[in-house]
Amino acid sequence: MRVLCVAEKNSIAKSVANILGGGQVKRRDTKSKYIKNYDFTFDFGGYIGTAQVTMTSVSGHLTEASFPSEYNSWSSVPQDILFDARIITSVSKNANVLADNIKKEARNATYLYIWTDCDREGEHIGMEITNVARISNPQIRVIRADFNNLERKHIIQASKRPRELSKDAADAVSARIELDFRLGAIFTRLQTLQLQRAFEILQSKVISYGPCQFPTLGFVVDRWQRVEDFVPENFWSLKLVDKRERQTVNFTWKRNRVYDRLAAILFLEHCLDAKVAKVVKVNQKPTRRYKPLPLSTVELTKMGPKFLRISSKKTLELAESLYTNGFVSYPRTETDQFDSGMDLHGIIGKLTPSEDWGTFAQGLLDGNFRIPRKGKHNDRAHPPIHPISFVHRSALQSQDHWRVYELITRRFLACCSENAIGAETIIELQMGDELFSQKGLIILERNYLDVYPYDKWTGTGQLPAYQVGEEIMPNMLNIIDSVTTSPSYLTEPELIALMDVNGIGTDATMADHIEKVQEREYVVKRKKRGAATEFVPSSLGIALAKGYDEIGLEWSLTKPFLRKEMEVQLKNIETGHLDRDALVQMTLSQFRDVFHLTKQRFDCLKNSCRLYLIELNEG
Amino acid sequence: MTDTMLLREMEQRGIPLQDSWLLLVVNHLVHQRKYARENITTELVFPFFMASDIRTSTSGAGAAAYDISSQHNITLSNPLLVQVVRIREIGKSIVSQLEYLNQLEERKNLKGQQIIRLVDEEDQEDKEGDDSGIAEAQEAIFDGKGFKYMCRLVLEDANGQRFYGMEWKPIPGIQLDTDLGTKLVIHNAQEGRLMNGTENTFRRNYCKN
Repeated sequence: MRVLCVAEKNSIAKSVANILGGGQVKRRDTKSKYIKNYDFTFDFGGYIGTAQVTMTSVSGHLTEASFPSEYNSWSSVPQDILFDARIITSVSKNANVLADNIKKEARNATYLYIWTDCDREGEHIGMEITNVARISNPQIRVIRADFNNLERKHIIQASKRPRELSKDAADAVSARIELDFRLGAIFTRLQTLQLQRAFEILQSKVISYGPCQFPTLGFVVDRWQRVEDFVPENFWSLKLVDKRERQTVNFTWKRNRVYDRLAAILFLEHCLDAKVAKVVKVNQKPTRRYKPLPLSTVELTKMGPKFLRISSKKTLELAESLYTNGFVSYPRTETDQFDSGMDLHGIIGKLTPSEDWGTFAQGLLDGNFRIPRKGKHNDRAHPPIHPISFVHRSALQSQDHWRVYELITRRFLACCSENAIGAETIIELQMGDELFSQKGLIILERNYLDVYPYDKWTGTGQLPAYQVGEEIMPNMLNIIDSVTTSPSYLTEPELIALMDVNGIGTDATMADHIEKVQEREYVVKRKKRGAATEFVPSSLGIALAKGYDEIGLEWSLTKPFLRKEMEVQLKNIETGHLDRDALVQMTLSQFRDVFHLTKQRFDCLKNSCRLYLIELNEG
Repeated sequence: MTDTMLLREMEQRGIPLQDSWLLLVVNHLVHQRKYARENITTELVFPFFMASDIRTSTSGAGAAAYDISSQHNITLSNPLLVQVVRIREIGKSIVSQLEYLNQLEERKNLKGQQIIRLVDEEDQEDKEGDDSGIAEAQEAIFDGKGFKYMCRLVLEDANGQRFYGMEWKPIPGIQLDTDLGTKLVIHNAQEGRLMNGTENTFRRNYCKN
């Protein structure tokens, strides 16, 4: 019996082969210098039994979409023809040697065992591999491994419990590929040709369109506009200060602020008429700061830029590298809740040798362990991102690898800890009809905060004693005048959060879209104060976003709704509730209307480019 | 009802109508709307009053005395009938208010869909000092509660005297989109101190409900 196993990348193939081969693995070169074949014997049990195994891999997608050559000319082919043009799916040039390797190895195999990543894209890649293998062996039987980390026991268990490839998930990706390809081609050609003709400055530029890129650009421009439009306004608030027990206590006005000086003066006068302030409430109560939720991909890609000053894309790449080396679990997951059957103690046990958090981990095992909080998401495919094994700092490729590993591990340990506990005192004073309050916080038990420096909870110290009913003469009661502060441009964590909540991209692709809009020079990343960075749109980005908004489409291409709806429908295909072709037809029909209206009113885009690329720059 | 009865009933509501104005309304109802004179009630007159300028429809009985500016720290015993001439939200910045209106308009144009522009994160350190109003507007629209905090009004009585009024506590029905010309009957109005500016002398009154 021969089994051909195919993984998504060589590093995974190597790791799985070493586990299943029990160290008795023979390596063979292929025509690709990056891909190897690993031969070993393994007992899969069940209906497969013991078999001669070859484990190999691909390098992501094998195939690419293209139009037949008669549609290649941008200038002579009307764009709307591309809505109905045939699409050719073929093995990409770079992947030819990989495909040849699979065909060759599949020839004498009984089973094709797919070991691609267990996500939607992985199912599609599995289908691509199947189609290639069946060229040389149409009778080959196809099974699929279900795994989410490279821990030895997990891989061995996964190998003995294969399932079928999910055609529905593969169909969802196939629909996405077709739509992104067609719509990208149509609108890119339309706007590039028109704008190149109209503006010398754009003559050599390809002005690309992407169904996720444009809403991403839209968020950046939207925030930029608010910063541009912002006008500072004066406001006034009352400040009441009391001094006792050698402490100065600043009380905050309950109305916070008013945007009218006369009103502030009236309120002040009312308070002064009262002469004294009365303590109306003294509340002491326990309070807590909740430990973090288990880590999902979106959260990881927000934390990378925020705490590590590493871009979201790089953070994800580092996490993937840690995964392929067996240090952390699969890093593309929407799930933020641990399954109740998961052996969290076992994982904590592996972390005790660490100098950095070993003592904390041991403390959890000795009685401080608490069940992690459950978030609202569960993709039913992968658990939250967590460490699989302990690794020493020096064993990792780079300092950045370590920092990401550290973040994942500390987050995991924090999830398994107790919430931080504090005692809060709230004091409320009434002077005339006006209320003032102050809160004091003492942190009694730091708990998870001891292992999780990414969260801050600062105590203010004990407030002096006040009694309800007590009358006090404030040390100071005054009007403070101030000015409102402008919003800031979007940071990367903010942009990811907006994309996530508005349904743009998936956890796996958001970072890519952010990179893409920068590559296309629609958005520029620049440093703000400190080491943080922010996004501002380029003149071209602004021109495109404003131009499309001016066209007056029911749902502008720079707004998230069209893509959000598509993502929802892609999920419906994945769960078998919608047919792939039906979604493609529905979406193309929608975009056909968008295309025609855009073409009809393209002058809006030209006017916008004229304004933002030429006139304002000249000014 | 006779005109006299109508006048009395309206006066009991704090609305001292002018005879001549009431006569015009009654005649209109009789001749244009074909009501029998004896069937005309205050409910029929009321809409006309609400749409009127109280300087022409009411007498000075509901107005403040002409020497009010020289009286200090008194509470007016009679109800004060005024109409809203100007209204301003002073608890929120103008930028916030515009943000709210823009988001509301956008939601209407997008048939109930809304773009989320700010995500509520547990760690809000970075958001301190952001007075864009985006968060407030978004929350107000999601909650459907409207965007009101505290209004300052310019009110005018039947004699054309103008006063500032300010909400001490929120009054239902008083908000930024309250129609100008809305009528208020204010009880126990307190007269505040006179303030002199360098160029203008203006009255500053406040009304407590």
